[in-house]
Amino acid sequence: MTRYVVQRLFMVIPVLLGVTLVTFFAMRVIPGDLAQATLGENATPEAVAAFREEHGLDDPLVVQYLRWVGGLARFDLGDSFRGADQPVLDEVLRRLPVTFELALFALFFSLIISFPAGIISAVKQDSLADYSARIISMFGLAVPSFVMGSLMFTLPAIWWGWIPPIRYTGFTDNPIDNMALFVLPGLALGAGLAGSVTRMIRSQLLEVLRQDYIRTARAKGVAGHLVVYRHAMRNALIPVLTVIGLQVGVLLGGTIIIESIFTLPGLGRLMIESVSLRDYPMVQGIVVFLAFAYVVVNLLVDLTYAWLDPRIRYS
Amino acid sequence: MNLGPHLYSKLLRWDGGIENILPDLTTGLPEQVDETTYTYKLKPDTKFSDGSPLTSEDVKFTYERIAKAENASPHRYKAGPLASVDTPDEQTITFKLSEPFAPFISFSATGWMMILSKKFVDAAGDRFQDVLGSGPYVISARQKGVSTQFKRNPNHHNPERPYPDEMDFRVIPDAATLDAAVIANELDFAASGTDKSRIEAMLAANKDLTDMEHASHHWNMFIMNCRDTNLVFKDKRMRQAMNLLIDRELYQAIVHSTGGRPSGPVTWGFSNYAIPQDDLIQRPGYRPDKDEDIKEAKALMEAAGFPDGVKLQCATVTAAAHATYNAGALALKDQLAQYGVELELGVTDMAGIQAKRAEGNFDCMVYVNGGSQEIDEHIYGPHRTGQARNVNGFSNDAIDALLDKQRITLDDAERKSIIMEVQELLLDEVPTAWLADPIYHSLVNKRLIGYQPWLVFDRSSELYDAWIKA
Repeated sequence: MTRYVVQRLFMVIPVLLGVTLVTFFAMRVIPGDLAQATLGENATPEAVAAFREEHGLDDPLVVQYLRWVGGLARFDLGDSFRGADQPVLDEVLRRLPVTFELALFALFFSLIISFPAGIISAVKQDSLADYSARIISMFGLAVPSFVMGSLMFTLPAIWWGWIPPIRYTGFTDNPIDNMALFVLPGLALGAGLAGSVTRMIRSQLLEVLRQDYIRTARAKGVAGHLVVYRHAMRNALIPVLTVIGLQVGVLLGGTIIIESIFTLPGLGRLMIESVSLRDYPMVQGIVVFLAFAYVVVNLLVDLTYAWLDPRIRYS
Repeated sequence: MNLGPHLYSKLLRWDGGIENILPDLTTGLPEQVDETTYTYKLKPDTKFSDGSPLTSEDVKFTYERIAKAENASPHRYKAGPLASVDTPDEQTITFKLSEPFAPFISFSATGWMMILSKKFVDAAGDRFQDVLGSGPYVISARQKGVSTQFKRNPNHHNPERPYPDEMDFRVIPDAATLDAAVIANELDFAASGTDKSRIEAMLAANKDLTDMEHASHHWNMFIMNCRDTNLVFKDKRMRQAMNLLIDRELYQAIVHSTGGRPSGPVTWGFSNYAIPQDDLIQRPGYRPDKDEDIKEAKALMEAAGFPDGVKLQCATVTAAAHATYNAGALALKDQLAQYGVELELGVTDMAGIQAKRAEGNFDCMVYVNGGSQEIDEHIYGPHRTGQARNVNGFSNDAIDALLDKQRITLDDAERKSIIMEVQELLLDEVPTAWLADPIYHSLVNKRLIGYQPWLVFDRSSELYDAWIKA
């Protein structure tokens, strides 16, 4: 097990290197001179030249890339181009809790919706409850999170003159106010995941419930709910967990828009601002950070397989 | 939004529009000793927000810092052709210029000439991150890109201002979220707009809002690349043809449903200098009878070697980045297509369009610009050869000479007549087809009294007299 974890962690290195390559060069392909974008349209040519020199932008791209990757190896994501002495890592770490909390709320809402809905849908197949759960899950899947978020924000304003809180409060300052900030964005972001997980649980459970060992359990007189929870769910969960792990990437991507709609100061919003300002180090830093988080989450998902199914061995 | 003017003071300040200049840090308007010498007197006991004294040395330091060539400030010209700054005592500053400079007094009232603390900058370094000003407010809390909270500056030189004890500026990137926040009375004011249906919907949704209609100092422009490398628009006849083909009334109706006026080289925000509307709307390209314009345009295109029309790379931005640019480009694409002028839209974001402006890498561009308080800033930069804001590479010796002349002409009437002459030449050269001056609407909560909508970069007057009704 330890050997497997270490192997997987080493595999993170080529993945992250690939991410750095793509991010670095993709940013350079976007039209728009970053010195001009940073200094504004009234910037004098002298100021633009000084900026380029200060940030090493006149060096060949390969040199710039190696300099950045060299910094990464020392956990130095570089300095933001916006303002002096603003390490990217500091800003990323400052914004990370917001995005993490949003993703956590989205995950929480998606799971508390999808598990009961998926189980009821499978157990009561072709009933009204099944049809309702399927329609709701299709709705969650079909409506993009940014549409859901926009509606959740603007409709209460139009109907009742009320909007969700827009002043950010840190968890340590006021946990209640802080959590209130994340309820609607969490729902908006989690709705899509809830839809896909509901459908996955339903289809997996339906398949498992038709297995011989389930029939045997029922024949032995095991209570219906125990058959589902103790015997069927555990086997049905492995593909569901895989979907959840893969969907973490979608969740993290979704925060970009949701944070803007709900004015949450997270990494997603920072990413949008940084792209539009051509703040290369900031964008690169955020992407690498998110890629790392994605890889780690999927590693954790892989490790939970063994807990769900003792037959699985890591080597 | 430029928050600097709420934190810093200047020697002078604009009151509301652009009609009156009032003292800010000074006891009155400067004494003009001769054509090139101005003496300002600071109010007694002016202080920075930390209680340290603000003296003539700080003013000298600020002006010399802006004027220093190595600092490459884009606002360097606002300090004028500075020869020397003398500080005979702690309250007196005498600026000596190397030649007359008409905008000197009004530039000392713009938001960019904020007085810095010499001691603070010397200690913090040239690229200081903190704020030490003498304006009506100080920052009490800030979350970068999220919000900035202000509280009253206890050491402000005007003890009667500001009225509010606190202000909270929020950064709300999503337009729908912003509108919802205004409707829900979460904001007392927000950015203004020119979309009539949006304004009406918000007013219908919230009876506590009041609609303030006002002019702007911004042009909507169709910029043409006049560089020699541009085979189409280096020819004046093609620029004139585009100017004639554009239907400004239709453009206005599509892009700014709140209405407005067609614009000349000077916006009607500068009513004192702009060509009067009655006159402007008789000019080619502006007159109501488009048939004559179109006939002339076709003749010009034929003479220029483009009888069947032309394909142009038109730079614009996404609707999300700037709705006006995008809508304007689409409106002109439709209009010009009827005459064989095909605009191929190159859609990018704001940084992309700025790069195109800087590199001159475009045939044409729909753009909104302006925001100046001083006529020189409004007309000099975009049209004088070699200036950073002259993005279409336009160059005309006669216009350059007049633009330089208006700067050194201190007599107002004479200066105005020079600026009129510049406009006449520009309307013939048409480096840009000036399209529209829209009417802007600012939605303000009725509890906010004394708010002045302010569509220039310096927003210090916006809230100077504002207070909240309990």
